[in-house]
Amino acid sequence: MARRLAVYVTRAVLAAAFMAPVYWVFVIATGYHGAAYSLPPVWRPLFHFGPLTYVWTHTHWTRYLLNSVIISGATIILVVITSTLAGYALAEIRFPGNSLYFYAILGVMMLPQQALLVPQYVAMYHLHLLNSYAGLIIPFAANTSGIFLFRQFFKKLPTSYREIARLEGVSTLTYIRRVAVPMARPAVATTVLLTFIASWNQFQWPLIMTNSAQIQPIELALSHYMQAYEANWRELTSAALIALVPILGVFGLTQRHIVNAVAGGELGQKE
Amino acid sequence: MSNRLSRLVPATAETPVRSAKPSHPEKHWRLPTDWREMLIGYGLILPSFWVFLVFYYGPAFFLFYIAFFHWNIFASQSQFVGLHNFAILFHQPVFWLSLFNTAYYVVLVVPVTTLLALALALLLRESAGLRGGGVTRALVFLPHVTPVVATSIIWVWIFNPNFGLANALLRVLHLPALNWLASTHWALPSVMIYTVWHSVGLYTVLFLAGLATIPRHVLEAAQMDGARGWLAFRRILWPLMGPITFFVVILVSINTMQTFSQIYTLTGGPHGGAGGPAFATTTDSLLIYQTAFLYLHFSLASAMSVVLFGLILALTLVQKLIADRFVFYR
Amino acid sequence: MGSITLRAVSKTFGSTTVLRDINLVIQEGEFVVVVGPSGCGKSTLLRIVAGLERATSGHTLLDDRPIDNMPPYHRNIGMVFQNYALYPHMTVYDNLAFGMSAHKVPKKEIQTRIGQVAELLELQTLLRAKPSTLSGGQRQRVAVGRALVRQPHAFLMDEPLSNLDALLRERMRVELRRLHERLRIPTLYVTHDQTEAMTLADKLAVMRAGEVLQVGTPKTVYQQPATVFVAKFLGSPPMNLVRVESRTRGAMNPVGGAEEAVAMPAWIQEGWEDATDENGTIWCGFRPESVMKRRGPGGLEIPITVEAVETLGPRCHVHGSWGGQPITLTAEDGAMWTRGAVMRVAVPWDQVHWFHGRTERRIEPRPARLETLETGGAG
Repeated sequence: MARRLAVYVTRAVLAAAFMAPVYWVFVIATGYHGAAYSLPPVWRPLFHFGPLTYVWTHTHWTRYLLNSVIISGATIILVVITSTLAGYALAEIRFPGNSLYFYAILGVMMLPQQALLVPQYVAMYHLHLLNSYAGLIIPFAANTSGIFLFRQFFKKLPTSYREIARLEGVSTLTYIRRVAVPMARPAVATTVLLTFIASWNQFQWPLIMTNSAQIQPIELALSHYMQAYEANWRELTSAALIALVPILGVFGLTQRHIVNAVAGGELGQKE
Repeated sequence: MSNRLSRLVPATAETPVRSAKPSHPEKHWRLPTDWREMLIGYGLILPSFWVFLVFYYGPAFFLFYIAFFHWNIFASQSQFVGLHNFAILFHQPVFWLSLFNTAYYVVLVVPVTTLLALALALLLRESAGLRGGGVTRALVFLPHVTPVVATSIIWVWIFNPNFGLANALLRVLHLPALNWLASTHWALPSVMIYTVWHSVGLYTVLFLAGLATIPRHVLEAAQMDGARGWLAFRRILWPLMGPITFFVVILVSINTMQTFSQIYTLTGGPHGGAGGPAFATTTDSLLIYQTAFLYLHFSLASAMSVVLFGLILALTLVQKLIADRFVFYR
Repeated sequence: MGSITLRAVSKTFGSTTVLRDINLVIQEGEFVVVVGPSGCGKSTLLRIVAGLERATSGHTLLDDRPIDNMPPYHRNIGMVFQNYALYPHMTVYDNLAFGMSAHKVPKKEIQTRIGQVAELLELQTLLRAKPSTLSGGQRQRVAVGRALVRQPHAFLMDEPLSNLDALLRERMRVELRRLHERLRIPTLYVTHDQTEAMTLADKLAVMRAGEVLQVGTPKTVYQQPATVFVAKFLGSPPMNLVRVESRTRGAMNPVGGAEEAVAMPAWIQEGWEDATDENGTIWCGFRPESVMKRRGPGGLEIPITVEAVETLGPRCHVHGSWGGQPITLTAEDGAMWTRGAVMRVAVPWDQVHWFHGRTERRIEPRPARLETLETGGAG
């Protein structure tokens, strides 16, 4: 009994500790003016949304938010398409180079991102993709783990589905669209969610590839804002809130699926 | 894989030349559908292949080209200079400092993250039957999905020497206050704290996944044998957890070696240029960024990238070898 | 509709041979069952007919026309899989319609055809349901319906009943046979279940390790099994098979048995030398139901030591031994058989089967000389 209580308490303390910073974004953003400077620190939100409205109306957050939505949305759509197609080809179609491509994708996973930035920038420069939405989207339009996920999923589908389709003369693309993808819904959901999180949180790539405020996503805008409004904590945290809320919302609604997906589905039956 | 494919698809595509039997009147052409099937296969991988080629493999090869040339993105001509870029690089104290900082950062973050993640995973597993386990797991994981810049903002405040939470906590514990991000000694550890907070949930979940693959009855058998607590952990759980632990250690290493965003945001802003104070937080990724995109010294940055590339590739290869040898592999 | 012919079909995967020189004909309107243990290649055979796989050599003919290069769809063959492979996200109607709609068959036509099939298979009330809500038998009928809706030249069924429980399996078996009587679509049916094979087939093909051992009506195959394997595979309880040796001319013993020798027919005696393996033994077999208790006018007369009696309602199985070899026989009255007793039983000579000691092929009496039966001949 005591052991159970100890577990409960430890768990609660830990959860609180991990949540605390996110919680304080809210506390400071909606607190009174100068709450950030109070000693001892404030710990209760006051629900003053004035600063948030001020930040929202005095900077182009709608634009940045829209940019993030455009970039994430387009990336998600492209990733789902490329992952489905390549995953299907790797799982179900026999062609010379099938396994070679599999290893090539494994190879992409092993390439260290930080070491590639310079040549990637050069490539973007020569493709005239700097300062463009395309430049923020296309490099992420194919995703190694998405492909592997779909490949795994398609491999698990009984072959008889595909054979029936072949007997009925259904073309491969129709089969993928009408049968394989609908049956791989969990894989689609996982890919959409993980791509959304990764794409929304992009920072370094837009930092290097854009210098135009017109297309910069919210994280980058936030970083500029941070440098400009050094110690205006209410404004800063309000702006942070704008970037945080969509992620928190999505995570709140789908946390079980996301955590499970990250764990490779191993946690599924535990609850 | 091939096994399944062979059941699925006419084996003609890879069957060695069929023993030609002239006695048969019909010609043994390959099915036209096989060709179509093959073309469809190539068509399906084309979109992703193109992206990987242009944005990953191409640059990876190009990197080595730039590193050995005196080269300028805006000028059309380049000149082969051999190891000259590396020679310059190795004479830069800041390069060695960045390597040192990176090593310092990695050497501290990796064990702390791994052990904390393992402890959290064991705690969560312990309480799997109790209510609210899923919520705790989600909350521990939550920081990992938060955008780095957005949460860095609050951490800059937390680390504020005068009114931040961190010093408030120290005061409660009757410990001397620290200068955190403003101090050359504590700036990098501050980033470490942020990194651990931001990423430990991910590794906790990976550990949980590893724990879930250990059959319950193995642990129950151990309990029947009277192995409990520390003994059960050391003799049963740990040997079974070895592969996943190694996997996590390598993964944390690879990820921490490439930390960029939180260093850039936490140490930029009010404390002058990122990487400060006094280069205390200048790690390899930050230095590459600054060299290339602030000072436009692409060749030098490429040489640094090659060094980083080599280090990480070595780690990755070790990881792949280990992962292949053990069961834990996806 | 038409006939399907497999001519000298072989299939190898790498170095393993899955099918060896298969010859088989499915006549118009015929229900052919391929039966054999799992891994004998029967499913591969089916898939070659379907066009899902290609034979390494040999030909598949539809109405005497080779179709080896014809893609599956153009063969117009309906197939029912063991797991039914119903698309879980589509309704029954959409499952039936999918193939046709992919080929832009007019909506009206699709409706009519599905209506006909639904009526035939009593699926009308299920058309709006998703497969997950259906019972096993209903799914099975939908799978048959999907194969049927294309109005196929032929039906291929790959263990379609093995996912059902015993009772349902029996009912669906009858339904399938009834459907065949009505439609007379040539059908190739693969199973490992001998009851299904015996009850459904117009023609039976017994396979083992990639080879067809015997083709014939269920009756012929049962009464004149071509090899020891076929003899053992069909029938429950299986045929008693005893290796016998001849120590004195004209008489035989079970190998190693100490009992008195029993007489053997003259024609076996004459051909004995040609029919034995290196140890001088041949196979002697008889079905449990051929054993009679009282002495008949001639025939195989043997002493059986009774070891156990199983009562199965109307009849019972008596387990015993002859010269140390296990023997099973069926009897109507279990009370007549007491454990431990030695009973003399007889099997009429025309119900005793003889198989070559080495090749394990059937030996038949022929005028003046002994011959082994050719196996695996085309229908």
